[in-house]
Amino acid sequence: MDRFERWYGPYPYKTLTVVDPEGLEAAGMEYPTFITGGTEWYLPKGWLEPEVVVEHEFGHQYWYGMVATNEFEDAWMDEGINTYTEIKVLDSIFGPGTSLINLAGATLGDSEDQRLGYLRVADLDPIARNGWQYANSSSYGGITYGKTGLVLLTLEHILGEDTMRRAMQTYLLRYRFTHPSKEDFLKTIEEVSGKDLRWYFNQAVYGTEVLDYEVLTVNSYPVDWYKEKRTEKKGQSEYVSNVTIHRKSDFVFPVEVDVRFDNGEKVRERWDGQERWVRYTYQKGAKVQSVEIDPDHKIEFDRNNFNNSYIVKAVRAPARKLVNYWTFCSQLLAQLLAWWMV
Amino acid sequence: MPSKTNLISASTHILSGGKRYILWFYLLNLAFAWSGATTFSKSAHGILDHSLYADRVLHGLDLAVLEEMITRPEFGPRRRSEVPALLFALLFFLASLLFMPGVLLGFSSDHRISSEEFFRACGRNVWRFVRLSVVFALIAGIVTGIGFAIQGALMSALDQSAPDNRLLALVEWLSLGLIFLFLTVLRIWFDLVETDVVLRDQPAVRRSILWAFRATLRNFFRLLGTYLFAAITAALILLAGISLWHFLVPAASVVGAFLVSQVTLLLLLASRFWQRAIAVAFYPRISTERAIQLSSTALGLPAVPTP
Repeated sequence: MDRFERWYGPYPYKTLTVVDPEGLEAAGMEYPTFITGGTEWYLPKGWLEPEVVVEHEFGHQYWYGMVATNEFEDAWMDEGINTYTEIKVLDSIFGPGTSLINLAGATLGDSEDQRLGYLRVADLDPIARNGWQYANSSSYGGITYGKTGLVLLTLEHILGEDTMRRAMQTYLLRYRFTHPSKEDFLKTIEEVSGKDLRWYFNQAVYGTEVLDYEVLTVNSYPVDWYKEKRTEKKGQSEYVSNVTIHRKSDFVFPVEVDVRFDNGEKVRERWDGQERWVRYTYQKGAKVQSVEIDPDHKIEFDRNNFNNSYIVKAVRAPARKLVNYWTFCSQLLAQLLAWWMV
Repeated sequence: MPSKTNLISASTHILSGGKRYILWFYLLNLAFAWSGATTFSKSAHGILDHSLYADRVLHGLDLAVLEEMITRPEFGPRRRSEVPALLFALLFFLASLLFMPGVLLGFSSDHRISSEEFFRACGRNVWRFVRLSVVFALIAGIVTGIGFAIQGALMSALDQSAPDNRLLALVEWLSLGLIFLFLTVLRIWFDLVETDVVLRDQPAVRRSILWAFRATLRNFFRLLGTYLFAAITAALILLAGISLWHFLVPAASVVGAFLVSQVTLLLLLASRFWQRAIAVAFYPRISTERAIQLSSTALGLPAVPTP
């Protein structure tokens, strides 16, 4: 409540009733000044699902409780906007990356969880669709909740946190106790930010374009590669390096690209993403060490985060760590089977 | 009659004399698990090795990265990784079935048995052990089934009369504990059967089953107490190992994690071998009674005086 009042606007009622019901049938529901949570006594401290549910249901006091959008035709305007504010509030309290699970070293953030739900249905339906017209319930959930939340989070990264907060505040104070449409919301953001965001809304809200950028190729070779006898000396030899960035899918989004060299140098490129690919060529006394698209992590709904970067020299430790876990579990299973059956 | 303390020290002595068996079984366990992890390893390396995003599973364990990795098309269907792991776990079980007779012979012997003796014991008893595993699985299945049915009925009755979730959880855990105890008793029974089958070179396993059943009942509390002692030690080893892994080993330390996890698994395996050593250590005492019984039968005399 403190975050909502500080960031968006006042909670106008004198009461709020929160009920933890028996069983799941009545859990996670919202009514004006009355919400239900849902928890079990045995849940460990680092399992934050009850907190997520209560925050989400409280958020509905604002989106749709006060800003009374049409839940059937524009489900994203209450569930999606609420998911965006849910991510913001929980990240501010529990930390980004740990706002859903923070247990025994394993972590999961709310925005990452929403993204996983969205990825399963990424190209099925647009955000702006009547609630009953989605392909299936997974698409309804993944798009109205997850994609909307991530689209708005990405928009915040484009506009800046302060600007986005002012836009949300203006939207709440202007349209509370009324029935705004989707264009009322989108135009408010454009008005407060002073930017034309149609290029973004047409793809992200009205379209089904998927966003996926990849580092396609990286290579470095000596300038005198054609010579039969040559020696390479780090710091002394000259190299030509080519870095190709590819827009795999149809969502056009301007991106930044960091190219790091093995002498510690870093170059930041900016690409508008209009063409399908772009190539950067360098001639330096160093080879390319790594390339990273969107190094400031502004984009929250890229379809594949693994191909957004490329390290020239393989780092095998992360996979080895996972294989350690896998092997341990396999051995334990085998021992338990043999323990009881032999 | 060996007291519980002597039984523990006797079995520990047997165990320390048979360290090589534990080591070989552990290496087999590791080799099978590594083989079963090949597909997973290849898929994981293919996705993670050249990506900065993978750093989130190295310094910490970001579940989103893990989930995204296994849902990537290039990772392949999950069963492609799971099936080999399960198959190699099954292979370890079969290997244990094959080689346990040699281990029991080695445990019972006062000298170091040769490879020839070891493998001869394995070969002579493989089919007997297969039959015993089947019988054990049947009995354990029935006991477990009855146990869970009673638990389910009890939970349903309590759920209707007492809505306190903690009471329900307590009943659930207590009943699971009881089922575990029953299974432990079953395991003691069949450990004695296997010991008898190997040491007496007994082809008719049903005779050993009946004899071991009576022996288990007669020495119920002593055997159960000692077995539980070993089982609790195993549980503590597992808990200590996982705690060390989580609290002391840095998240990015692959070698440290490997060492701690493998030492834990080795000690866990040793706990089970300790239970086998308990059965072997206890066997001489109860086998003397059996020898008298068998001698009477051989002479055509009744094993017990008829009224």
